[in-house]
Amino acid sequence: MDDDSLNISYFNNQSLAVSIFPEESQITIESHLIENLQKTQQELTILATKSVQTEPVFAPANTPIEKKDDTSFINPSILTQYDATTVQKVQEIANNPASSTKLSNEQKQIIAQFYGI
Amino acid sequence: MKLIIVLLSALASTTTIAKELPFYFGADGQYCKMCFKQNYGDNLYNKKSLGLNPFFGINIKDSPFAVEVGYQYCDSSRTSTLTANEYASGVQVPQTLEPITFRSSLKLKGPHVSLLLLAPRYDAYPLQFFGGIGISHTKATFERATMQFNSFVGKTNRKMEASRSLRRLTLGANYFFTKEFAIRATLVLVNTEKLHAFASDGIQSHFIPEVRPQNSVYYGVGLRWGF
Repeated sequence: MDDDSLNISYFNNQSLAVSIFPEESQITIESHLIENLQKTQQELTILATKSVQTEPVFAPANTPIEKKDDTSFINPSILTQYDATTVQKVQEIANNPASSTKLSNEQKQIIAQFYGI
Repeated sequence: MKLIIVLLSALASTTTIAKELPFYFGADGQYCKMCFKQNYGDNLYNKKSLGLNPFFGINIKDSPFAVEVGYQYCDSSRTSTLTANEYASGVQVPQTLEPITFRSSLKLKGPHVSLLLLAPRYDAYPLQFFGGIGISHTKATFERATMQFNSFVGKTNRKMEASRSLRRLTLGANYFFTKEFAIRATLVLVNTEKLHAFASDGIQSHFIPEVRPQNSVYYGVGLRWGF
């Protein structure tokens, strides 16, 4: 299919996500795709957008938005951020034994400085 | 009662009050004991330290009082290793950094002045007791070097300082070998509880280390020359 055609993405063989390009774009649906749609008998949700989308509209439901054990925020900026949320997150990471293997050497030194050690 | 009066009369007849020389000077070697409040230095700093107290005194003419000035100095150091949930200068050690090894040292120094009340001293009995109250301006410096944390070599050296005027209570005794020379023992109480020290090193951190000492006792033995 060329770039202006219907864009269909399968997820877990259970659901479909479809996006349609602007009305002025020509829509072509190939026959084998129509057959697949009839077999699955699933409801399609069509979203019309004004701009061309290059990524799937829907993400799998079980994909976490942010990992809970993400330690990427442990950087020198925490030494100048004193909001309660940041302080609490740093303390949770620093007091979680499992974090020890996930933190880089530099991050451990930043935590040490955060604690005044 | 009559017997006591007779004995005191006999004692007075055989002893004469020794005349104090106008000035004296000397130095005390001291054993200083200063405890710390829980979690604020008790597991880092040495409670016991050695000190020195050079002094100079003026016996006020025709009175039992003397004014004594001096300079107090004592220091000590200690190495300690802390694990998670213990406190380092008021800050709880996090699990990802344990164990942490610190080398901690303290210094107390500053001048003092006291007004002393001298008990009468007799030629036949060379022991003289004295006591007094005074004030000392003490500067406390608590340093804490991080030697190692987790598996890293530490390179941080935190410094906590405090400077205050403190009450000073002195009790002591002189033992005179000659008219000029004596040894003396002293017991000095200082309310170092007021020396609440915070980090003064300018190192940026979220948690600020602090040290909270308790009151101190200095046990001293010294030499004293009068002139």
